[in-house]
Amino acid sequence: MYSCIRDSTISIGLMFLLFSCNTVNNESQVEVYTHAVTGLYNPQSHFVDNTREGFEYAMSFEELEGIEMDVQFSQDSTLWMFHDVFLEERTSGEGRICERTDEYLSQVEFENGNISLSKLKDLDLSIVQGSKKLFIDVKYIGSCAQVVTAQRLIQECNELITHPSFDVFFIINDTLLASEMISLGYTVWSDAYSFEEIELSSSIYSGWFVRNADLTNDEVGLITSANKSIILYEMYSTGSIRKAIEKSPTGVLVEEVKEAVLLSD
Amino acid sequence: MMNVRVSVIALFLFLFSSVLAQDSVIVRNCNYNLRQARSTSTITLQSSYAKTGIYLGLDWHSNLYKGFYMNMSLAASVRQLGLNKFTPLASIGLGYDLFRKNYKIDLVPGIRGQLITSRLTESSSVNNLELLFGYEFVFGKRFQLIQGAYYGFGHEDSENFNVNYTSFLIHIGFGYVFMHSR
Repeated sequence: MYSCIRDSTISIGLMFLLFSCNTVNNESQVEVYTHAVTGLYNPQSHFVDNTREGFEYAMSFEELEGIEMDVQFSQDSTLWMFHDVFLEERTSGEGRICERTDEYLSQVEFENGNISLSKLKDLDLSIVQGSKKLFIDVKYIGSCAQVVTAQRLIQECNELITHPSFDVFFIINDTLLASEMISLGYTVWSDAYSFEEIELSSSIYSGWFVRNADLTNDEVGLITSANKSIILYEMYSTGSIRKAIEKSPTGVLVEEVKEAVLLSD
Repeated sequence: MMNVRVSVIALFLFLFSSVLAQDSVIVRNCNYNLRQARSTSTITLQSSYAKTGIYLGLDWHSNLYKGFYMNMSLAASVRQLGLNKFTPLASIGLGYDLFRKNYKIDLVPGIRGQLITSRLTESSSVNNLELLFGYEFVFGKRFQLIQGAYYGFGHEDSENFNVNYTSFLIHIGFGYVFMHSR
């Protein structure tokens, strides 16, 4: 019996040594942001991603360096926070955001809980603690017939742009709208799915959001040495977060607010 | 960061050295068996999946009076350990054994309160206090397989934000029973 317990003790000790050694060190000061405000599809989050409630929660952490949020234009040219293409994937609504009026969208609720879709202009900015970077991903431009102009986008985001706590960046894959925003003095990023795509894409962009698995250490180094920025995302395990940070990108997107605060320490 | 690692290892070595000390007493007084023993304590190594993450730790439970059991546990968040942080989960619970006369199987419905403290930075921390209701299913005499599931409410409290939420805990563990006479 004694030997059994001794063996268990040794095994557990080794297990904890393993966990404590295989850890993430953010010594290179890679900036850490949250994906989709509180983490995309994160079952452990108290809030649904890209919602007003989640925004208030994330903003309550003074040490959080920033967030990425997904927005889409409605039929009435108003920005609503939502990540997916179709409403029916996660809500009581149907169709695309750009096919629906504001009145319709205000009735739509997420499947898990009585949480409504959030309009960007409804965010409560009075609760923001500390200074933060805000990446606004304007999604699915051109999916519907409507024309999205830079003026309309700025008008919708005006409260965020002029807020003293925020440093606002746009993520726009439409090169026409991106050029228009850049000509007005805004910093615009894009999404990319490979190093080749970054090489081919317009040099107007200040940086790219790329999946961690899609770029190697050397490729990240080549991009950052050309004075462009890279933010890596889609890391779920601590191992993949560690590998992403070791690539020394400009930043990483993680799926949990508390984890983002902890890693930025 | 080394301090965190050393603390974690020291804590668990301390707990297990306590277990070893108790075990040596039992080995010397080897006339006991489970049926003769008036009171038992069980130390369990368990892994838990909770609303706030996956935890690994130790659980101690002992019968208080007749079929009533009390349990205490201390665990650490596996993910937070991977991020160089020790996030402890401490819990205390009370249950009643529905199958008292069956020495191989126990079903213990009960209540459990637990506190999870995450120290995020030097100046900020988050506390989660949870009250859960559920059961523990125990199989075995001396060596036990324990499975439990709980559901209930939680409250997260940080410097600038409070939130209530529904919570859960599912755990599985392997335990060893110590016997005492009163």
